[in-house]
Amino acid sequence: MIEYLLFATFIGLLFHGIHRKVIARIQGRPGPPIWQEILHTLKFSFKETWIPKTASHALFIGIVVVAIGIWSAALFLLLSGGSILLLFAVYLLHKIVEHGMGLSTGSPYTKFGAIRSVISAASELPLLVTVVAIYFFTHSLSIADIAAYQEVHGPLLIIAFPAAVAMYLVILSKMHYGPFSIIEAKEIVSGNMTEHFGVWRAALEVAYALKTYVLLYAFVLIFIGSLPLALTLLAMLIVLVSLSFVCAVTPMLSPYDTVTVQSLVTGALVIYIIILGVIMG
Amino acid sequence: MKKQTALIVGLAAAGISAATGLLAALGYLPVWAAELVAVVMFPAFVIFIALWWNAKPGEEDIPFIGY
Repeated sequence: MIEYLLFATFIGLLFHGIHRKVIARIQGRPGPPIWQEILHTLKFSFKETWIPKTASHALFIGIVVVAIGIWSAALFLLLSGGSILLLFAVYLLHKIVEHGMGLSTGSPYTKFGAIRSVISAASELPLLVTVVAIYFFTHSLSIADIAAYQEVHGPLLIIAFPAAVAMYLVILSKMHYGPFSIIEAKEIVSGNMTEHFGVWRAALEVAYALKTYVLLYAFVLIFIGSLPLALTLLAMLIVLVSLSFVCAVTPMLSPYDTVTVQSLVTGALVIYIIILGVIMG
Repeated sequence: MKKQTALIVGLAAAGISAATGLLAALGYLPVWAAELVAVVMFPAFVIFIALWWNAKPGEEDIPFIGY
């Protein structure tokens, strides 16, 4: 079992490196090598590690453990074809992780990150809309059933395109250097992660690598279908590069603009759901 | 915590996870149980192995609590 997690961590970190490389090339910079995030994680693991005196020790360390644990669970959930609602639950737990990480340290910068995490809760709404839209077509929330539906009817990416856009927005809101990355904006240093350094940051990088892998894998499974591993990785890479392109050409929005954009998209998708409900009974 | 303790806990976490994965593959344990063990053990493996190679060879406690 642990081999799946190590593989997903490695690929997730590689994807983070590719993400940075693509952004740099679009912006006319050479950018770091694609394995930079792997080196970055190793570098953090060798850096001096301590716990700030103002921190809640249990929460400061516990939140790192929970961050890795929930995305490990999400990976097994996808591999076993479990319910998409549980994936949604993991996504909500990640919001608690972001918030708890910011509050655990006693630093004002991390608290600002935590508060921004709460006000950007609108980023969760498109995922809920995605779940409802998918249910209209597949009449099941099991990932295995959704994959089986697509084998018969074709990819949901075409059949339920607005739902795919909603899920795409959800993944975009969790990407580094993206238009919605307000919780780790540079004006608040590194946001909620500011005080987690050394081993703690290395472990968080592992958790975020798992998160990126899981979200991209979920997008491919839910909207394209179950593919052989190589094709799945290729599809994930294509989705990632498109996300990197959006991140490269879009400036980071202000916190209120972030909430506004995400709420407007959710509103549009709710209208889509209502229309679906009327048409499909 | 001492450097040696971090290594023992990290290796034990990896060993337990690998062992339950093997037992599940051989059919002695449900797959979900092995997955549950991996979810609990993987964070411990990552953090304790990193604490082990991060720690200095002296007798001081890790991680340092202060500042």
